[in-house]
Amino acid sequence: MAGCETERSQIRYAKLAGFMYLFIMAVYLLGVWITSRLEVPGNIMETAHRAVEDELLFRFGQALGSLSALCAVLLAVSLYAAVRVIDRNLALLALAFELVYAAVGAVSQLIDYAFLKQQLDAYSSGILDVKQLSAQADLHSFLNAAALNIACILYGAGSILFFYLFLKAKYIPRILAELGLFGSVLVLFTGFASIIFPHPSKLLQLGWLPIFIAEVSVGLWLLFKGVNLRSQRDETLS
Amino acid sequence: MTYSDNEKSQIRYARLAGFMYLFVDLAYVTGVMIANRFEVPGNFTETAHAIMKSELLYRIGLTSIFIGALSTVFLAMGLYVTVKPIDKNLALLALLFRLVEATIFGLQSLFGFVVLKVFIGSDYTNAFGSSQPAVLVNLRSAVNSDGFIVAGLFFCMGSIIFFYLLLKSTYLPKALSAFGLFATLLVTITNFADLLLPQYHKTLQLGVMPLGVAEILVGLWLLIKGLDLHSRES
Repeated sequence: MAGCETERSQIRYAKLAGFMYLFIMAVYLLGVWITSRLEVPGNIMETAHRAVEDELLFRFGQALGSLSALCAVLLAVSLYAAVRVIDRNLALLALAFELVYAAVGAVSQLIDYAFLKQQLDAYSSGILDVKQLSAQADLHSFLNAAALNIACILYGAGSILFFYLFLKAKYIPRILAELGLFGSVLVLFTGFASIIFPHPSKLLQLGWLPIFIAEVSVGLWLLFKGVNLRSQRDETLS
Repeated sequence: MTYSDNEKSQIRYARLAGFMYLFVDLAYVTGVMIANRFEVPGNFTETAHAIMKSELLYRIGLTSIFIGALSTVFLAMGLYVTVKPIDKNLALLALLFRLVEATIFGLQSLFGFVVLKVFIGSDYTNAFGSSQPAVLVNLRSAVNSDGFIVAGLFFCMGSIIFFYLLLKSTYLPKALSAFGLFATLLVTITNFADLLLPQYHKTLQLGVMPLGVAEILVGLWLLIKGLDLHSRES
């Protein structure tokens, strides 16, 4: 009876994890779309002008960043609850990495807000000239890139462990777990390569593609098909 | 002597913790040594020149510090599984302290990379001259040293609990656990003193030395000798 309850809880958390994978992806893409609408590459004056003109949309785009950091915690806890039966310690280690990732992500967002606020104030009051504003904007995009790379290394470390546990448990089709594992390893390497090399190749951006496909596929699978607990049961019986 | 699955896992994680003690120390020391090679105290322009000459090496130094922060999670997890049978709640508390420490150090690495842009970006010095970016760099070193102390306090809380549980468990020789506990208490005191009396920073830094020795000894012991589960059973 207790076993049934545990399994029911595992199925519920797996569905939540599936939903969170898709929700975070949607929130992230919406944030990127809003930013791209307001940002004029290489023209900080025009960007600042647009941000001041449409401040609500601009702030909404920023708020989405915080929302995804918050949802990352929900995703991590639901993945932990779904796979902890396989290896409690490894699942906890994965959860630990994802929590550090969420905390670093949230503080980076805070710094990002402060930076933007300072830039917009400087633009409105005219304290800084165009050259100074561009240099500030350049530093700001450097901050965002460094934050993204550091966060993705932490995220990759946790994700490797979660997908490894999915692979071991056979809860989802093997190919999906393997794709997720491969994608997470690639994200980790992409992050390290981007922070170590001064001029990383643009090709490195492709390192995000496998994890994107894997997370959407695993998210859909977990949400609609759920986890296959039978294989785990059979293994326990044998 | 046969071990249960839980005990086998405990022994494996203890070895992981032993290895990680050594690896984390090595990563931090390497990173700090490389970064310090570039810094010319009070001279922004010379520091910037030195970094521009060998940006890759400087980045390796910063990455090494970040790897130290990342590996802290493995170390904390290894210690958590090792001492969990003694007191699960205290072990979890120690794990959480060390996770906060890893987060703060991770963020410090981020600041390191951001300030790198100020050093290497000629557009930044062109726009602001060399004195204004220098102010930003000075602010970063203040954040760095105070951040190190604050992260250190979280580290100390976690480390005190882990060493206390090791002492209680008799998994390690009592003298080793007691030395680790004493050394961590010393670092806690020197860190607080450093926040209050920054003018004595260099002298207070000596307080870290016993902990360095303790961590290396405990790391080697856990890695080579492993856990003594017999004494606990007896």
